[in-house]
Amino acid sequence: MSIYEQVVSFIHRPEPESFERLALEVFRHQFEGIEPYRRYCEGCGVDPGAVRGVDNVPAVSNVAFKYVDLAAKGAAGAPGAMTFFTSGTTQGRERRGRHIVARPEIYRASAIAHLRTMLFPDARRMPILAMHPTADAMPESSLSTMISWCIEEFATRTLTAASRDRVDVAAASAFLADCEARREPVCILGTTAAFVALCSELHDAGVTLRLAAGSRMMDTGGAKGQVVPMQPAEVIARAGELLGIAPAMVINEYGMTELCSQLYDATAFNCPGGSGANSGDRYKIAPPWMRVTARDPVTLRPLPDGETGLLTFFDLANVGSVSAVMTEDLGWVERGMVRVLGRTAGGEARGCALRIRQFSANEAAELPR
Amino acid sequence: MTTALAHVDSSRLGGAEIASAVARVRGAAKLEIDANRMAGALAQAFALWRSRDYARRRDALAAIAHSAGYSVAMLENSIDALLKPFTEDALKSMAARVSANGAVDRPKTVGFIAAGNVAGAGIHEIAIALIAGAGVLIKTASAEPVFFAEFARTLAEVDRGAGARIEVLQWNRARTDLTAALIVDCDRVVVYGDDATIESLRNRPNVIGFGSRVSAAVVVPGADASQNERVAQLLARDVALFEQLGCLSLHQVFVVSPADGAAREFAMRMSKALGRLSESMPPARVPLRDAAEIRAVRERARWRAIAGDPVELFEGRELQWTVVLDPRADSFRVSPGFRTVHVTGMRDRIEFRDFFAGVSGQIEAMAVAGDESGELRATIRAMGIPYVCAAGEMQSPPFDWRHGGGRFLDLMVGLR
Repeated sequence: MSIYEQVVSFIHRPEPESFERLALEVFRHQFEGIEPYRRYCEGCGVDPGAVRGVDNVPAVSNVAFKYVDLAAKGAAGAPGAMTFFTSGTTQGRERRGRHIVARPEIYRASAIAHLRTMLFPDARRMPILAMHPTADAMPESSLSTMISWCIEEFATRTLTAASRDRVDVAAASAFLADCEARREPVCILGTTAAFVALCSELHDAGVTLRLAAGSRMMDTGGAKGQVVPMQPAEVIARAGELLGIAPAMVINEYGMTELCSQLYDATAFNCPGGSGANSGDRYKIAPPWMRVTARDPVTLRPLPDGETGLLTFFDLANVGSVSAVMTEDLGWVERGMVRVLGRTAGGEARGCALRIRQFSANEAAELPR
Repeated sequence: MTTALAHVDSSRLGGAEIASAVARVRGAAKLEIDANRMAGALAQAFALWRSRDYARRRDALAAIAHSAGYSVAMLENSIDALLKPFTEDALKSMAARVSANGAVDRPKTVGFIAAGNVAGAGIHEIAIALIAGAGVLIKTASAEPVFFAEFARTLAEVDRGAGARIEVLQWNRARTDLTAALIVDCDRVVVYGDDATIESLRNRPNVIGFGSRVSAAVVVPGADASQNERVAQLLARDVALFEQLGCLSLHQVFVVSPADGAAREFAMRMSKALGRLSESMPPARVPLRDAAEIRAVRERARWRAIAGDPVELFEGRELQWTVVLDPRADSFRVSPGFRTVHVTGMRDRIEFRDFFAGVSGQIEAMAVAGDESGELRATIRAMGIPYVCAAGEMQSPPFDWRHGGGRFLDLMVGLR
């Protein structure tokens, strides 16, 4: 079996005991085939043959995707290959990250398998409201592609109520009202910012909906694109107040263009012992083909359970690019579950000196992926 | 050690205690302690504090270093630099200027809201306020409650009357009721802190904010390699003092030279100098968030270099120090601090001037080295940067430094 077939096989039938072996094979495959990654590893003094554990695989910063193509030479032009871009930044389009996915079928397998576990554990198909453009309108967006795959897999009917430029909250409201009238459970997918726009519209219009039991929503992106960010607990509360969606059915996704796998809130709906309450302090669950560690930003070593560091992923589904990715997000891992604090957590007040983001907006000010 | 703070349970502080403290220092300000006597008392206190053998200083710095994760050696050097300008001559000269401008209607009480990241930050304004006859109440930060409390004790020991003009209290910034009381009770309040702090107080007419600023250096390398080496060492020290967290801390070095490779050569010298300083002034324990920011700076530089951009990363073990050579940066690079500095090349003075046209308002100090003709200094002064100095002097601005543009100095002393 090729390395790609092995990864797909793992996604369909995860065997935790073989993760480590497969991860090291994937790493060696990437070291051989991806020239910038090989140079990085060599710069770190790493001999791939001597790496004995996935925690010792050199992780690239997610910003690396802004500067180099982390894929085998010619991968972007391979038949069926897809290229996704991170959202625009204040540095301009030339600094958008670029993730070449030579085998989108692996990305799809990963996305759908974990969506099935985390958002559709009841195996229901239902109407889906997309509050983010789908792939036909925004093919460079990994989120758009994921939403399109989700619709293909789980939707009975659908409405896409967003374009590149705006969210059509009136159309979204009408679609939801129709689902309410039909007593059909509905699934809402989109960015947190789009959800905030919908809430604002419903609130201003004095409209509250009581969607059918089993309705659910997945929001992603957090504070990105919001002037005054709505906190996770408030998202959950608003979904209940304005749409009648139970707290356990409001499931936040953590994902990024640079990764082919995603994490979702653990709630009472998708995880025994998961949160059913209104709290935004939730753990997230990664799929079995992804290993998450928090790394000490000083030493880059994995931290013990419960200690906060830079969230770092080894994603088998990234087999065609680089699997070991270190983010700029802070968080911790506990009993295999992940708490994401984001980039703004824990900031100390500083005296008379400027912080980077005060001087000029920088890359941290990204919009949804 | 015992500090003045040890006797204060800040959770029990209320508006009445703030009002009482302000009334006490106001009352003390009415006593006949003229500017010259206050300058003399301060001169004695500063003389004690400039000595590394002074037990109170030694204990205070040990306590600050322990709580902040700084090395004592770094803090010793930083306080040496900070207090260097507070000589008897400078203090007496200020007293003379105050006396000469006797008609100025000065505030009788000044509150200070101190920053927590740089021990002693604000000492210039506090000394000026005292010499100008004001009673002073200092609210220290939870992160650094020691320095001013201990300095005030020294002043009281040197001259009880002078010491009665200063009180030091500490409360958490979340106690907005106490901060509001300070603002109501004092004639003027000076705020050091992040922009959010100042922004929240900006609408109060008696508040003067020292907003967030950073500092830079410009170097014209000469033919003398040893002189270039010396400049790199001095600037490396400017980076390392106070762990690069103050408004006078050096964030970016501009190397003005038409020669290719001049900036790189200087970056290498800086990195070697920072490496040596890691031994003599061990770096701080870097807080998590700051460590993450330094890591981000490094990774951007690393991957830009791998991509073929003309960027080079020089880095110490773990996060001890970082130098990013960015030969043609298109914007000012603000550092996360903790010995992280950018080095950028500039072809000539015109390019340098144009670069700073948009950001000079956020620059507090500029060190200048190798500017034999004085043209660069003139250019920088024309930009309105408050403190222009030699390499190695960035943390030692003169007593009458026009900090933040000089608004407070003018108010208290009437120099203009």
